[in-house]
Amino acid sequence: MAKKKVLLVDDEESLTKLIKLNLEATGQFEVSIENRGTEAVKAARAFKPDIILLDVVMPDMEGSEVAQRLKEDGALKSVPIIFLTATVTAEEVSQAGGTIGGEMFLAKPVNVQQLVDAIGQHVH
Amino acid sequence: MRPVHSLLKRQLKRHLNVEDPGALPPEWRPFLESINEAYHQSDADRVMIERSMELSSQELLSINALTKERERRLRTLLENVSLVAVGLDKDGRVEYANPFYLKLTGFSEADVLGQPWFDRFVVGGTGGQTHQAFRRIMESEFFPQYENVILRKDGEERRISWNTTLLRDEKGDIIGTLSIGEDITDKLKLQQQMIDNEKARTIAQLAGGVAHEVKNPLAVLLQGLEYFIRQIDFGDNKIIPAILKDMQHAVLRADSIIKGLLDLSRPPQMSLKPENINPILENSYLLLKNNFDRRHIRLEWKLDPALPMVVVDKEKLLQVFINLFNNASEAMSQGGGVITVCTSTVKSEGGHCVVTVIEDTGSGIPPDVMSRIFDPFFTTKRGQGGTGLGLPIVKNIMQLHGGTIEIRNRKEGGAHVRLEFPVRKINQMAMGFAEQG
Repeated sequence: MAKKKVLLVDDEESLTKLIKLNLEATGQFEVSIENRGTEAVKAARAFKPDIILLDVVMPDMEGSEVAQRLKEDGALKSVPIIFLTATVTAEEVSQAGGTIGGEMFLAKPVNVQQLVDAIGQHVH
Repeated sequence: MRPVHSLLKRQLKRHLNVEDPGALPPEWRPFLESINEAYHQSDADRVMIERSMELSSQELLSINALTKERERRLRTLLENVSLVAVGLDKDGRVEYANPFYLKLTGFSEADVLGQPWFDRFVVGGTGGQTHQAFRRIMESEFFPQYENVILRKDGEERRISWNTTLLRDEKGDIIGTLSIGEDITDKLKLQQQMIDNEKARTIAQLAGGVAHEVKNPLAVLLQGLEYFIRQIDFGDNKIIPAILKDMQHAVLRADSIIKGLLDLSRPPQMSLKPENINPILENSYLLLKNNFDRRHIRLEWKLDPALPMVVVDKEKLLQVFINLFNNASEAMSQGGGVITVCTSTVKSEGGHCVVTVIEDTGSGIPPDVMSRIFDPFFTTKRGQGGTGLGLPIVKNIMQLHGGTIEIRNRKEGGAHVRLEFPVRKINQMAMGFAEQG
């Protein structure tokens, strides 16, 4: 089975490195990292991910703005996005049915299994 | 010469048999004239005295009327103001208590008149600060403004801000005091509420920022630890995996504190439905039962089977009750104890309230921390898993339901927690749903 391609956009470099290590260690994923929100669209065009994990609060560009640009891009608009958030609790996300305003959220800190499950739900 | 005064005429006739003083020897004239003058003068004096007496009696009457009117006005004022008025004699016994005082406290006039004020009706009693203030007033004629706490007939306390004045008799001797006071209990409560709200707002502002700043490092730690645990073969070494597990737990504990902070900081999504409180209480207990059984903690139920429904978020209430049950259990010694849960309906200002009382036989709350138990991050269980967010969250949830929470120590020992939920009318419920929807 082909590995699922995951683009990880988060300004926290050490976190992205570790998530990449952990996801790739499962043998199911190929992960590409982008630490700048402003470069996310370019990175996505180049990498052609099956799914994008997107941080909400980044210094150069908010996650919501990045998502907006991704959705405006013809080639990328159908790629599912999961927001990673540090300002919403897991309970709030699950109470809201896993989505807020139609978007999927995962509350930090996430463990590997949660990531694997969430990606599995959206990429088959 | 003035006309001869009638009295002089009469005396001349009587003693000298003379009708006309002109018939008398001329050397008598100055003498007669001065007597005549004296008579006239005396007449004038008498008229003046009479007139002034008449005047002063009129004045006295009008002064009297004025005094009565003033008294009447003062009395009407004291009888009708929404202020407490209490008159004491110089020994501190009640001589007067106005209707507002009686209404506020539930005492009758017969309950209070003649009674020693400081002994019977003031918290702190004889020798207390207020009594000392009274003595100072009596001794040094100094009129301080002061506050004290008075007792209602049912034992409830009210804080009063007093103004006191000395009463004197007509000789100017001090005979007692008259004090007028404002019941500031509710005003203080409101002030406290505003302070609490202000605190909550500050925390809300902090929480988002702190959560973000702390959760990212926690995420890094968690991912790193997971990597070690999943990818490294430690062989026979059992210590390292154990340490890594401990570290993982520490990260999750830190995360739960942040979560509590976020809970506290935002108006949570409420899912309001009409519910019966009794089964929610019982379900909360079921979640803890195993733990409680092990620790010999028994629950005694005094649930009112006819409890009206209240509009609440069931999940949030579970959180409230579990928190309170846990607090109660943590206050128990190793020998265990009893938690009594009582529900009832009481009349309140705006209708009815469902009251839940949770009492325990634990150690109670140390008086010096009582005022801080709702402060976020205040805990007496630091190092034992206490985050200091339990009671603030409970209070928050109660406020979201329009309810209240009061905690005090029982005389017999242990804590007494009283929760009040307003029973809203059906149309208000509908409005509540509309707001939610």
